[in-house]
Amino acid sequence: MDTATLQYPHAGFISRAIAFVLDIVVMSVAVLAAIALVQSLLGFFTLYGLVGQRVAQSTPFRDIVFAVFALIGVGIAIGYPVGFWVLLGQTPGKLLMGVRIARINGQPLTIRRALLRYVGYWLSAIPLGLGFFWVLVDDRRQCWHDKLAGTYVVYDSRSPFSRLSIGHKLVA
Amino acid sequence: MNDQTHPNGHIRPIAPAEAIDDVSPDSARFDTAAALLRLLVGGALVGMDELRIHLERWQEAAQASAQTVHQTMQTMPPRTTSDALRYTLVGMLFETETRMRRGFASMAARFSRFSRLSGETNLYYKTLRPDVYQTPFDPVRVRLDEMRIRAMETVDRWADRGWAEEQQGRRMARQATVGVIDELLDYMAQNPEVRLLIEEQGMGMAETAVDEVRERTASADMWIERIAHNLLHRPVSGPLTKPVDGAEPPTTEADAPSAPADAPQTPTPSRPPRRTR
Repeated sequence: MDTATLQYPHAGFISRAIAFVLDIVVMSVAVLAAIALVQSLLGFFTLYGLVGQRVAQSTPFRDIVFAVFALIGVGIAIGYPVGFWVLLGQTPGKLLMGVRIARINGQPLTIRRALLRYVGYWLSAIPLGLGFFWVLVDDRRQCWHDKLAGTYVVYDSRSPFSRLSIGHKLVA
Repeated sequence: MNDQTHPNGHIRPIAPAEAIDDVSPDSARFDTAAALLRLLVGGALVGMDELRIHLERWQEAAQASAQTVHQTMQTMPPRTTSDALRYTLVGMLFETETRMRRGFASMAARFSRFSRLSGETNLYYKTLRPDVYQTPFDPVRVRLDEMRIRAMETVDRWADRGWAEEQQGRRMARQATVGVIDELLDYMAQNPEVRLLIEEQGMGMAETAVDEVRERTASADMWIERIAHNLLHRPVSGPLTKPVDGAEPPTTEADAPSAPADAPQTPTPSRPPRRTR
């Protein structure tokens, strides 16, 4: 690959932030829907006597239910971004904003890298989100989690911005 | 029960339901001719109402426009012979309409005066000259009175029927209008070509909106970055937005366009010009 030719311009803070918020909304809806489904199933079992009323109201059972909800929440919180990064290279929020994740070497993200990037999310968030704001001052618009996982977030080739920029050949 | 002025001038309590019931024996079974007539009458009445409303609006707009034109153009433009003839014909048309309206108004006033006079005469004969009724013409007068009463009853019945039919006709016309529009919309919605067109338009609009959002956020990216750099007194990095080491998105994107190798290497702003569709 000729390094002089343009690849894809890096996405900036606002695009990434909006994509992040959209993903949070989607994840929240998904978690709520999953919890509602579990509640309905529990209600169904209790109604038809498959789970007794006394059992349903006991503390251990409630703990189990809470654990199931927590598992669902954690599963979606991890599985949603990691899954989409690995499978599509972008989450629905990023898709809508026309940005995608790219590795430095041009290869698709592996699960390991995606998990590393996810861990980097939390590391970026711990110092009051400084890792996220790093994109504002970084020359390559990388957050901490990007640096950790060796990734960039670039404007998608299909987005109008990228399509226009392609012909411009940005300087290295 | 509601009191209202009868179309023929009598004041007589009419219950709408009662009036409609009068015609219900006919309308109980479907009569195509009657329904069609009802629809035509209702349609004409509703159409006239709508036309009147629109005419009023148009006339107001035309008058407002004419006032503006009068302010700018004080003199009549030069006219040819055909123009003059046309103006004369149009003027004659409106003059005739005005005269006819005045004529009808004066006839109505005369008729009203005559009615009042005849009523007073009748009152005079009844109170001061009761002996007039004791004449050899009494049988004829009685017969005439009977005929008059029958005629009035007939007119009343017609008026009742007309009132009920008019209401029903108006309802029918409105129903028909709504029904036809619904059917037309249904047909259009089921028509594959129309549906495809609507879908394409919808998709196009959505795509345009998303593109607009993307472009604006891309501009905002640059703007906020500049602010951050200014705050930190860092030099604003130029158009450096290219991933190094030939990085590119996953190669699964077969449709990803690539830049021509011989494209000029001019520094360009990292934000593109607004795309126009």
